[in-house]
Amino acid sequence: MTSRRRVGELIVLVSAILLGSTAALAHERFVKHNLKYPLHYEFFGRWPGGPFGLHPDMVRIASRVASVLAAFFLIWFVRRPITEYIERSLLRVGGPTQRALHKLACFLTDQPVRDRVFHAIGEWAVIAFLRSPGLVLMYSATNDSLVMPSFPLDPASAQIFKFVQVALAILILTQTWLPLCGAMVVGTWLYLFRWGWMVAVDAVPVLTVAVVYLSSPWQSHKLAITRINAQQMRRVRFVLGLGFLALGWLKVYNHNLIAGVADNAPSIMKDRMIGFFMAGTDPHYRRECWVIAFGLAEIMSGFMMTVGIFTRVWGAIMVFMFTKLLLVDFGWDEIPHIYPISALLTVIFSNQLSSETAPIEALDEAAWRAGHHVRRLAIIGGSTIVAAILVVFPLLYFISFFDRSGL
Amino acid sequence: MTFATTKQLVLMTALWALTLFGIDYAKNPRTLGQLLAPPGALSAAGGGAPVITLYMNHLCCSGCLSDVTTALEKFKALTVKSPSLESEDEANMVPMPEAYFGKQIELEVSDLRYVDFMAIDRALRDAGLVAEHIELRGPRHYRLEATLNHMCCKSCSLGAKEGLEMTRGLKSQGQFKWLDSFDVEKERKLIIANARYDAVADVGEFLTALNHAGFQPSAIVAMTNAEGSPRPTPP
Repeated sequence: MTSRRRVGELIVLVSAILLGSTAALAHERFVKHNLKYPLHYEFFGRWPGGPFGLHPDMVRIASRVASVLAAFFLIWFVRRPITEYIERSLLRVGGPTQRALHKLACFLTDQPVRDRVFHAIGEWAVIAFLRSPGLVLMYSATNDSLVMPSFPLDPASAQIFKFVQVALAILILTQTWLPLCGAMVVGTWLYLFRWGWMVAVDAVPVLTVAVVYLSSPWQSHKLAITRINAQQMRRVRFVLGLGFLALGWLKVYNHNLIAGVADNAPSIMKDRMIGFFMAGTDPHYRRECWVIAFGLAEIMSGFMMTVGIFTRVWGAIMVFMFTKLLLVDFGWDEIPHIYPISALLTVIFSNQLSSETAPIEALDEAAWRAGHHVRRLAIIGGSTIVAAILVVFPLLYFISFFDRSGL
Repeated sequence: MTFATTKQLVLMTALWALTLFGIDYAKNPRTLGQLLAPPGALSAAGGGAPVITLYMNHLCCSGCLSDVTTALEKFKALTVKSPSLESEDEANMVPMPEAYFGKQIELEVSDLRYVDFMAIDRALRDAGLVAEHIELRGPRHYRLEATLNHMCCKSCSLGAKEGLEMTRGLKSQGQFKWLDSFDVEKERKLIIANARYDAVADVGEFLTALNHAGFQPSAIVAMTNAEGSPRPTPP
């Protein structure tokens, strides 16, 4: 996929987010999300006198997120010399300890991990990933929902849609005609636009498994699919990352929804990473800052996964977050999270990871071989700063022009 | 091994999406304007001022209406929109076909927070009439909270929950279309029915389901604020 095409896809997504005007038709069921107290809506809009017309605390959080993003970018570009230095100079221990540390370094830097247990977990994760949508569809059907429990079915057509979901779930669980399953998942996602663009954006992560189904053979029922090849993994990583990126912007845009969830489950506000991003902000805008910090953190992790920078690290952070939401914060109501968890485990335990930064690294290597240190600095520093700024600020600025208080 | 071609994948995806849209349209026929409008924008229920519609199976003349108006005049938050009816004298002189006995009365609501549907039902019954259906339209996102004087133990809350499970089955028969989900709060002695977005709730159906489960609510109110908020005291 060319970089121009990737940029094109991002523009389509951004346009969809900005141009839509439909309210999300989420319901007060399963995870409760009614606001207990009104938010300070002025915080999210234009703020006279603030930097770029934004609230200073919002800019503070965004700057912090951009800094972390830049730091990870920078470390990514120099990861090889760092790991080599640590392994050869600091950890000259030899034997099993050195092998274990080498595996750890490989894990953290998205290199293949040659380990039997790692490989076995990876195989199991693929099986769970390919089948978990079937369980989620069954769960949704029994709860009068479509695809996800937060999308209630229309009573008039509920019966048919429930049977349709069960039929698709059976195909998935028996691994029958996976290309057809993929087409049905994508087609169902397209149908979600009937209920508004926010619903469809909310369901983007569902498409992750579809990219594997679509590229599977028709005779899938005769195969034990336990590995995902490099091309499939690239697509999985891309769609999964893009899904989280979109969800992050949706949280910033539709602030009432996520603030309402936090009002009903205050424990989700106790997160160290989010706490770091919103440290030092005005306590008067505590909930507003949390919404922005949470949304931007998701955008950052989604972007890292899309681009393929420390994919395993960000994947592990997200697995922790989803597991905490499932087991600690919401309990049974979030049982469909088995799907994103299994998708993330598939990515984490894959030895087929790649990165979209390869062209930049090739330029950097060429400059290094030619001995052009200033050019290296410009390539690495320039791409880091540009990425950090572009990912966070432009859309945050544009969204502030929209009044979202009534969503 | 054979793989699907891009053409096949695009075709299958498009066909499947069209099938789902087709099912949806067949079950919910809409005009082109409604099809192109954002969901909820053209709903008969959503976004407007709250209106309560009483479906009276007997409301033949101005005498009946007078009794209804008198019964409801004590509710400050309600204004009866009188339908055009024949006078008592006309009704005495000209016997009308059975189909003409039933009428709907709309009640304009100035403040939904102070409307108790059980009080409305009681007032009508005391006047010798009854509304088979009491429908609420207007608020986009709301819930009905039924207060039960009796909910002494865990078995009561379990019984209420199990009893209301019948609403799931009845949905497929065209009833409780407005109902999204329900909760039972033993501590506050409440049964909460969460209405679907933009839905027209039938309080009569809710009351019947509660009665079927063995409970008689002392009050049923529609709430649009946060769950757990205290109920306002009528002025």
